[in-house]
Amino acid sequence: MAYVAVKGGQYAIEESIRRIKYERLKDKRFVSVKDIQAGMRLMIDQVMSEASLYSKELAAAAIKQGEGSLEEAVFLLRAYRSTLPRKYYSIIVESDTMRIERRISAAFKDIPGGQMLGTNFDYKHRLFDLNIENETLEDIEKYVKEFEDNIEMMEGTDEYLQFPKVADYLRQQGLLAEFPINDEAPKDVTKEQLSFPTVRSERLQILTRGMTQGVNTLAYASLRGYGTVHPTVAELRVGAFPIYIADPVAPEDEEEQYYIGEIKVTEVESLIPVMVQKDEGKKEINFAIGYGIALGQNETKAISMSILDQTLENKDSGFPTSDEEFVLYHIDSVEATGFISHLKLPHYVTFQAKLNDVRKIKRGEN
Amino acid sequence: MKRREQTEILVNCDEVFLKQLSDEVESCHDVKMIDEPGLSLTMVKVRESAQNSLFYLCEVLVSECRVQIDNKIGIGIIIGSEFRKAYYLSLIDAAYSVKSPLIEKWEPIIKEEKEKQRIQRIKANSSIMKTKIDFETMDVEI
Repeated sequence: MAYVAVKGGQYAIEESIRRIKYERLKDKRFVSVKDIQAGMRLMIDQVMSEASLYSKELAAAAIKQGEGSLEEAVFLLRAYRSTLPRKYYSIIVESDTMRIERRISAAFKDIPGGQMLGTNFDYKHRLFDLNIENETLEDIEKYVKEFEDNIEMMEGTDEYLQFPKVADYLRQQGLLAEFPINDEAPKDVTKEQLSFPTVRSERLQILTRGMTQGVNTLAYASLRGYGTVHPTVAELRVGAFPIYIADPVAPEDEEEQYYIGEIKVTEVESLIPVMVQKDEGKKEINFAIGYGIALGQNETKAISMSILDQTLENKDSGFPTSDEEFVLYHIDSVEATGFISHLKLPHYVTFQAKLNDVRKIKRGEN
Repeated sequence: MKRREQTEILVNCDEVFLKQLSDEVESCHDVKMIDEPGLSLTMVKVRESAQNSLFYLCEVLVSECRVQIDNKIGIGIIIGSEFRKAYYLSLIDAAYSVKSPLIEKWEPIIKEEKEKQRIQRIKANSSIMKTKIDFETMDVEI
């Protein structure tokens, strides 16, 4: 079956494209990119995470152009990033360098350094605030001033809030396996086609840039019985990683590295009970860590990723959430939404062929 | 001051401060533009804390500029679309590379900026520490 080009739609397409801008502007009101950046923090985080591109300003502009469609915004950013040169690779970011803004544990009440709620919706009544419709700049300025005036320098507070990992406590007790430092160069799914079985670096890269609702859905399915993993969140952290690049002239000299700024992420370590094979065929229960990370404050996704990290580590469970082809091929926003939405594009020739087959069968022909 | 510490401070300085320093570089040295400020990507490599292996987290949009003083290159690189800051940072970096006499003069004002940033961070962290949970065991009802 060959594809046949048709023409005649050019004028209609041009007019349809003109209508996109008209629909966005017809009320003669607009939202600026800076306004989106200021007020749509979590939407920007989601778009950056799925686009796998950290740029709040570009994510805000993409949301504006896509009229709030996240799949459109992610598509725009992925397409744009492919036009830019990648000139540098960062120095390895070590997890314990995070400047923490929020840190909680569902496993232990008392953790070294304590639990900080930071900024989150968890303990807020989900009551609709009808006053938000009438919020004015004056209200905003008043609230911000009062909040900032209320901050007292707390004695003994560190410049960098950095704490040991909760999991380290379990490692010290021999309840978690120790893994040696592994500096094997990661594979890059943006450069190499995926083949199965995958390596861990590919899985983590695909999961972290996965479509938020897709990652959540599969993790939820795993919890509900289509998988074996039911985790306890050892630690959830939201904070900023400092990013450094090497000096091109003296790449080995740490003191000559360039600091280029920081990126905000959510990082999760989940504890999952696993059976470990011991001597003489005996088995022992132990814990494994599921690892999740997502750009910005993206907590549900990071927890979901930590679940899928573990389901994919146990490939033989027989559940679809342990099938890496099933999980990794279906959670990418551009691939999933792109493939689904192509179905509405003309398929006249292929459908005619199907129709002919059905007619033949109805007429009793082979 | 080595570049790592110097950029940790300068990248977080405001544009006005960076412009002051870079204006001094332009008036003291013959600066040649090598690469105009432009956008590029930096791939972020992370060590995950479950199995200590490496993977690529994301790309970061950066602004970068390169200038030359004498035979030394100055690089200004910063996360975001920050062309002016990238340009100012490249001039300051070049001044450090050629060991400009300006460096000695800058040392105290850069340290002053470092102290300002330290206080701002402690203030921000004090606000976060107000959300620290003070667990108390509740009475058990029988």
